[in-house]
Amino acid sequence: MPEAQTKLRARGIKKTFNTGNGHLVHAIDDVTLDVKEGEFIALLGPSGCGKSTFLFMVAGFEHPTSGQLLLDGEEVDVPSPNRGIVFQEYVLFPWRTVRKNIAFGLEIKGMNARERDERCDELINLVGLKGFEDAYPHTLSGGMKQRVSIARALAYEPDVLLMDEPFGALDAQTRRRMIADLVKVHQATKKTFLFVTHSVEEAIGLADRICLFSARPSRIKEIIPVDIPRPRVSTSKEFVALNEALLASLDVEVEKMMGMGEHG
Amino acid sequence: MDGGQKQSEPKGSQPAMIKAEFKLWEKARTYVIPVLSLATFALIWEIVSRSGIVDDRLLPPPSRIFETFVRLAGPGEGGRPDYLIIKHTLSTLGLLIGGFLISAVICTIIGVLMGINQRVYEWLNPIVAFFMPIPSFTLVFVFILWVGLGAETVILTIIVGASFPILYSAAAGVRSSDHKMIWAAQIAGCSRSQIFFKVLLPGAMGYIINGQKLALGRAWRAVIGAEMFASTNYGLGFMIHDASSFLDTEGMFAAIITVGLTGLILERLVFRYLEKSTIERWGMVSSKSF
Repeated sequence: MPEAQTKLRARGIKKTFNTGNGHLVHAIDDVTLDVKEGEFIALLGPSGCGKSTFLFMVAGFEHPTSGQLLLDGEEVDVPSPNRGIVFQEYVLFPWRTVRKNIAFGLEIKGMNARERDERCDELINLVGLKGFEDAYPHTLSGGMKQRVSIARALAYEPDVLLMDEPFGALDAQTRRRMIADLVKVHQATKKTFLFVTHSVEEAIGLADRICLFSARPSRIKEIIPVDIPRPRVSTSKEFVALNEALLASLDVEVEKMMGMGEHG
Repeated sequence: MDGGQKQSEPKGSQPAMIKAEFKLWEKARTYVIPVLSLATFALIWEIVSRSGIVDDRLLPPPSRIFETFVRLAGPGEGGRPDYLIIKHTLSTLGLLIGGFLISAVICTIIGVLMGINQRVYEWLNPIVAFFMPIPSFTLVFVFILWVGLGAETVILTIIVGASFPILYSAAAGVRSSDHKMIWAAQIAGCSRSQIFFKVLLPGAMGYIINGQKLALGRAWRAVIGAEMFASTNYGLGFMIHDASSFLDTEGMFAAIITVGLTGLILERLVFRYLEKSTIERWGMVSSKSF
């Protein structure tokens, strides 16, 4: 791989929430991380550990209490179209058809209708939505909805794709298909991906590197490079070995979260 | 009626046909039962008022009310003008639609502003909450003093009567919007006004339509009430009041029933269409019709 540039640089990110009844919650204690351009990073950790909060800070929806967060060398401030977002709950626009959902960002960009259609067709092929262009989201299955959401986020060509437990609400079969297809999307688009998950299998299946978050107040416990060649088979020896090692390490953190009585 | 047809249902097989028949009855019963229910009610009424238990000058049987209705809907005789009840109905509808539209436009805008801006909400909400429980036609007398007897007073009453549900539900619709949906729009590069028109407004559609439905019911009550006191020569409210003072109970009931039917048809016609083409199509509400 040629020398890749640093896309995202996080230094000593801290986040404290005020819960409203006078309590302060230290969600993130210290996150320091460099992400290279085109890299696929999985942010893995127990539920409620603050990994989604970190993702939302990269998006510009939330702001660190202290620390430095640089995207392309510039401080992250407000959300803007150099990033795309995919949520676990899909968050599609129910009043727009599949095609119009995907075209949303292009409309905002001011692209004309013909170009929009071409770009939409590309994406519909890429994510496997052919034949569903004119369907409304409520008629689609969870997996299909998430494909629309991914296409919508990719449509306006962001550099970084942020995904917040995107396959968390899908059944196991659909999830495996989505993982395999997302690998293809990453290879085809060569964008930088930040992928939040609490599934070890998803993380190993997808990522170049896995950042394991500790229990709250979270830090990055370890960063594990995944050198298994793609497509990765979940029954291969290396996969199984890494899976076990990561599960053990994750379990320790899950236990700690349970101890706080605020699991989830 | 069922906007959310899934693609994979087996077609033509035996169970599917039984299912189709069942569906047909399910659809038909939404019409058959209301008709039977009303027919039974009319029959009992007919029997009671013909039996002599009550004075049929005070409670005329439905058949005579219907005759009267037909007579009043036809060409005039004696001193009575042509198509009298139709003229009254059209007059009422005209005022209703005018007042309702004015109210819908103004109050949707204010309501949406209340939804977007916390300050606006905090300051307007107590005022709305105070005026809401006051029946709108208590204000008729105030308006009569302000603008005199006639259409202006009726329209003002409708505007006020329709306003509160529209205000409240537009505000609630905007306030209930999914913040992640707004995030998704922001990161795609939406300006504030784009978020408003492309996300908040369509997202609040379910609430807005619902509020206007309630408001139309209130407006309908307001127009009839206002006409009774403030109208000088037209409108169903006026007709009821007028018939009552001449002890013309048949004319009075004919007008009352016209009020009920027109209100029902209006609600069905306007809002069923609006709901079907928006929120039902988008799957934002279930498509049950009752």
